[in-house]
Amino acid sequence: MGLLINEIEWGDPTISVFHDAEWEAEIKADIGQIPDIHTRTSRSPWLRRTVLKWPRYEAQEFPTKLADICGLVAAQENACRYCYGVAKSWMRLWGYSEKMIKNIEHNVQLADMNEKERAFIRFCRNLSRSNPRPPKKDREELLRLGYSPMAVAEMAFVIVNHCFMNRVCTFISAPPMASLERLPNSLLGKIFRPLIGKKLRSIGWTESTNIEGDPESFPGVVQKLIGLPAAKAMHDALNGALESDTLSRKLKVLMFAVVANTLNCEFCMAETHDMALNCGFSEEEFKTALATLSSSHLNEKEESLLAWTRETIHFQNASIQSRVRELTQEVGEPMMLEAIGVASLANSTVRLAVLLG
Amino acid sequence: MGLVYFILIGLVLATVCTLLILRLKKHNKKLVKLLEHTNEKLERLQIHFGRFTPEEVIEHLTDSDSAYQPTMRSVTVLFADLKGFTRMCDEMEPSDVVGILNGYFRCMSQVLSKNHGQVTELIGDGILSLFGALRNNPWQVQDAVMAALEMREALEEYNKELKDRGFPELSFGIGIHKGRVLAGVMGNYELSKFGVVGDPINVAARVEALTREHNTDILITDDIKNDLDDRFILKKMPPLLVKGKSEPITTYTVEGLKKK
Repeated sequence: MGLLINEIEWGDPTISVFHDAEWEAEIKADIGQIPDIHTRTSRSPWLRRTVLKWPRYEAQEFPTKLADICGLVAAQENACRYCYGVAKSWMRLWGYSEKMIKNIEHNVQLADMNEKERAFIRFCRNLSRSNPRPPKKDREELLRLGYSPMAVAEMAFVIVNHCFMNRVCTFISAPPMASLERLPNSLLGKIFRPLIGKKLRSIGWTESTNIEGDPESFPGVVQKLIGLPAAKAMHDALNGALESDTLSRKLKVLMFAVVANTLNCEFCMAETHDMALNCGFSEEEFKTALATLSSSHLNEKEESLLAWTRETIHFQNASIQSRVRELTQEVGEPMMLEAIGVASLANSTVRLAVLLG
Repeated sequence: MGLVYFILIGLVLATVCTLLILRLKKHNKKLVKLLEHTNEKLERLQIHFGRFTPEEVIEHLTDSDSAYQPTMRSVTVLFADLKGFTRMCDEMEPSDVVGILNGYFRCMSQVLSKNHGQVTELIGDGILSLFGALRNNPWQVQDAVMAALEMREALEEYNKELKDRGFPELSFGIGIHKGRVLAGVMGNYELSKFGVVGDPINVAARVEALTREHNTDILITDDIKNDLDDRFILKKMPPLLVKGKSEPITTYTVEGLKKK
């Protein structure tokens, strides 16, 4: 079982607030307020958009109740203080009882739930964890219990989507949303809970446009999601991350490769290998870069970020946050923020691929 | 008369039902409290147990009905042992010896954890650490050698502290080897523990013993050297026979890292 909310170590923010008036106006028009995390990620166009949309993704193929639980379980397993507080508050505002939330947190007394729901929670916990690798047998168990392959693929996406947010918020050490966390137990919160809950539901997001182009040209993990709005969401995030020019493409490919190798995902190892050769590495250079986490194609700052990528797979909050703080001094906030986004996305992509690949 | 009779019967039944419900509710409350108490106890036990056995093993044992299946894993083994510690034990106060040893273990464990090593066992003044035993680690060999180099620095720092407190300085030997080991929960019903067995463990210990023969502190085997990149400065040592091996073992001392 993961830690409880008050047991999680949490430091001061590692990335400062950056005001971008145009972006803030867009957030306000979309969700009605500007939470702190959106101003800390505002320097990176693809990352800030992903952070704004992904946590509000509305599942199409499985019950909303499970999607709601997923946010709480993933945040707890990844010990993300920020996301844990948000997920718990949202659940209370959506009308889930304190008792039910407590039972899920403690992973006990889940007798009120049916077998399918319990299997989903187990799946969610196992996929959120960084070790061991996400087990395929959990996916098979869900299929056996009657969920469609499409529903299981979307469940996996929703879980890794939360894991992405958990990592971003943990590495940034985003300050917990104290006012939101107080709301469910305040008098106003108790009186207006149904209204607030309804308002929260109304800011849910689903991708309405279809993914364009030849499916064969999409990254493998996107191909596995075709038929779901998640495919476009994943495709846009991966494209955004790889096209962004704050970090070199070579570094980003290596960052994905490091995660793929550590999680021993053959599917992603093959893809990152091909991507590396396409962006100018020779076979030998790629092999050496992976073995030594350094390369003549990278400068010193980039090498530090590549070595750090390893630490993002299995981490303790205090040490990773302190390492991010040191690295921010070394490489600067724009590069660090971009690396936080790429490493978090790589972790989510590879986990998804281990399961669906 | 009949109506009163029925009302009375109804009232009695309602009272009995209410009492029953209240009793069941009370009983239920008691059970929930008991469950919560047991759960808290289990969580506390998990936390304390975590000091003796890796977290992943505990989770497997508590979450699953099946026993922890032993598995063969490719790991890098680092064995560290203090030199001359037995003599120190004879000459010093036991409480001082324990204090020095605990400080040494604390420093070394920090370095090992930082470099992705897992301290598997403390054997007297020896430390057995594995790399890649619980998680896939493609960089396990580099990690082990980097850990050894940082242990050397950490020991220097710790020796300064010991010197300031008027205690003798420590010196150690480290042997590193790799290979496949069997990992699992071993022992009987009364006493069992998570552990590893296999030839690589013995070889690492024998190589550590060779540090005395070669008058050095860190020694690695050929298998480790072959997996290292060219960042490390190595010096070949003359092959020597060790217990349990028919052929002499070639080892390399790790002098440090090349400057960039």
